[in-house]
Amino acid sequence: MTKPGPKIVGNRPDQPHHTPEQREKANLVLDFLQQYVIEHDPSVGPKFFGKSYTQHNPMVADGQEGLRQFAELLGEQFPQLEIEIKQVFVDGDYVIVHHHAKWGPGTKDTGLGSAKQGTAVIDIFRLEGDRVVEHWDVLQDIPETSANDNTMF
Amino acid sequence: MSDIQPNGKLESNKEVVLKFYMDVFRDHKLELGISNMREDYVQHNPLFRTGKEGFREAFGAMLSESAPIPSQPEEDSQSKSEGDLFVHNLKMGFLKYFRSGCSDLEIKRVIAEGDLVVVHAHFNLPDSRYPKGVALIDIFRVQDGMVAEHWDVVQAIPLETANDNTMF
Repeated sequence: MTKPGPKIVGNRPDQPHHTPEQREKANLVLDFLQQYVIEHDPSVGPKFFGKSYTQHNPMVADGQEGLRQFAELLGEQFPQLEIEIKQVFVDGDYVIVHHHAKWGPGTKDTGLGSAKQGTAVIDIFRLEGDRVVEHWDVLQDIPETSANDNTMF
Repeated sequence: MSDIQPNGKLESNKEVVLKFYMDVFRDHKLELGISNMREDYVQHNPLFRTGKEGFREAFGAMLSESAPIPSQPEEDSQSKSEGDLFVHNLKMGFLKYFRSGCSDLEIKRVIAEGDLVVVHAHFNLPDSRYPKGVALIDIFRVQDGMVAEHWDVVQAIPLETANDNTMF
């Protein structure tokens, strides 16, 4: 039984040469993204958050509370949001996730979700031990026309 | 930055990518930059044709004094999707950047894993559409010491923000 609401679809990618430690860090971040942010189960927060959470996405307020509010808003405004993870890689304490957000019908007043083709996102998360402590991202709405056939992924 | 594979390979991949980035975007030396690009360069940025030749053609036109500056976008946002309008405007912003001899970029962090190198950068474009510039995350794949594939996302930095941490 999957609950309604935003979800991560498809398989989790893996880089072929990931060491067990890198795989563990990638999965930690993907679990956090899936369980806390996208499917938004606030009860899993304590598993992932450390003492602080520094947010660099300009739309989201700082700290754990800012992310909780944002995740809640995402679920309310885009109940059919689907996230497809395209690439994930790990360098030390940094985990980078390249994904495709397909918004589905939803409210546009957040400034999100107006692109029919969805949005290309690259997230950078920083870990301290097994805690997620900092986040940067860049989002770009995918154009309908392209000069190449390679897609943005 | 890697503490997992503190080997020379990651560092040299970072060097290949940073040299390419600086040659093209800071120093505007296109041919020098693409001397380390594979012919079959796989381009995922929707503005550019794939291949080394597509890169040379697009950036050659931006850097060439003689090529005409296209008129400001057909502002018929009716017929263009948000995504199409964004890349169209962005191309104009980068055209102004190159034509004015601008080198106002700052590399914020470089991250590498395997054959991939991520560059997180801030560009100030001489274009009133981007008063705070744009944030970029580029991913490059390096093969045999040459840039071989490229993905990126670009976002205009908003004036109003929900936190004080900046996008970097």
